[in-house]
Amino acid sequence: MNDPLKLRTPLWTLIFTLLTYILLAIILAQREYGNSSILAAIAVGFTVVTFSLIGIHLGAQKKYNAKNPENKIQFFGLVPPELRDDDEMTQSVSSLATRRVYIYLSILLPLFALIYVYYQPEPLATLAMFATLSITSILVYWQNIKQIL
Amino acid sequence: MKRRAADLTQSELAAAVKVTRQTIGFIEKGEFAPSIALSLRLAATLSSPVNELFWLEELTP
Repeated sequence: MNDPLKLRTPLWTLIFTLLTYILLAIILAQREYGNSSILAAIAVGFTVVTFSLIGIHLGAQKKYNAKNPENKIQFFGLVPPELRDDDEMTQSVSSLATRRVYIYLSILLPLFALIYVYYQPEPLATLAMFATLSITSILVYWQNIKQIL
Repeated sequence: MKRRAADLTQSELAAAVKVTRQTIGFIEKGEFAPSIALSLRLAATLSSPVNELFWLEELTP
């Protein structure tokens, strides 16, 4: 399988998740602290980086889909391309990884709720907590499917 | 090894039993235990009884 840009790994899910949280952080910062030249510069930089990455991803995806017509990746597909179910072995590894993410989240989510109730963090800190949960759960999944990538 | 005896590459065997080449590699290394259906497909492709392809050490005399 030709996948030089790692389209079938959690890399791009991780990148786009990070970008989403950065966008939300910019919106929150603007709401909290008002407009500033620094924030405007960050927003412009963010837009350029995001559109460049979307362009790179779409280009790589087009090439990948041309080479793997039986196993196409969809940019707006609900099932992420790293959720592998090519055959029974990849299904088995993928299921085990998903199980570990479930265990991880079932422990961390109530813990984060407890932190939220006790410390009532600022909106940006709350967003950082959500980002940490999302990103680490992707990393847990990635760690567990590494053997079949 | 039965696959080599049948003069098949991992990719050829994988295509014949409709799995990825990776899966054949994992089975050969003993890192993945295939389902009964896949074991039977492998046995049929390699013209070999299933118990000559897969066995449990503790049940081997």
